[in-house]
Amino acid sequence: MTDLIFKELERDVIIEPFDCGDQTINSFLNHLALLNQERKLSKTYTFCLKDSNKVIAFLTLSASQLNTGDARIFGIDKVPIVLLGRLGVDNNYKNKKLAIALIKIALEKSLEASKIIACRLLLVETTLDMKSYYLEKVNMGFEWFRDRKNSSILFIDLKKYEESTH
Amino acid sequence: MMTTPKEKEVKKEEKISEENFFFDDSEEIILTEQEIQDLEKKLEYKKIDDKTRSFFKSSHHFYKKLEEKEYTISLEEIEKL
Repeated sequence: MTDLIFKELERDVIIEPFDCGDQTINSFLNHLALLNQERKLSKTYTFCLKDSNKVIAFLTLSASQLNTGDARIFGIDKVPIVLLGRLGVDNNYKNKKLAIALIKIALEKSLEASKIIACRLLLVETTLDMKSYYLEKVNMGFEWFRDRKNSSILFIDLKKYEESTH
Repeated sequence: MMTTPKEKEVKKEEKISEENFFFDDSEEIILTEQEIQDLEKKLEYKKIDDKTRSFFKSSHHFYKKLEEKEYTISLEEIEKL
């Protein structure tokens, strides 16, 4: 049995030798995650091995907005959102559903935030290859929003999440 | 079909990236007119299906269980999600 603990990123969490296979995400965890958290720019949550406090998966959430330019949506010109900015699972712990567990947690954390300051969407960006996986193969409530050059932006409606669970 | 070492490496990379997310927030997202209309329709009128509702409910129950267990969980329990 491998016991894990879910916790906020703190100074006592051991980051080395975390490697999710993506150097940008590794670098964020190594150099920016804690700094950004202390500056209240983003919040990072981790799954750590309970006995060693080594991080094996993490996600980062922050507040953001969608700008409607000159137009309006629901009478406002900025849609408040929660951004799932980074999510990484260590290579030694892939295919164990840690990413799904973290997305479930992201939904609940986003809902908690929306009850205090109101935010309507949880936004994520995934590769174009994985777009159909999240939209068609798994039913996690993702909706397509926009494609970028090599990626796709998806969202989950937090109002529908709240209505389904409360 | 034969797979070259390079193709194998690419497949391995794709597999690895499946469980990683990176949001490029270096540019502000400004909605287009079409996106505003589409988003409004999805948020106001689109119903969620039973499988999504089930996923939402399971997410809520998973988090409540995690809270009850003081945020401790085994990897094996997560694998059963």
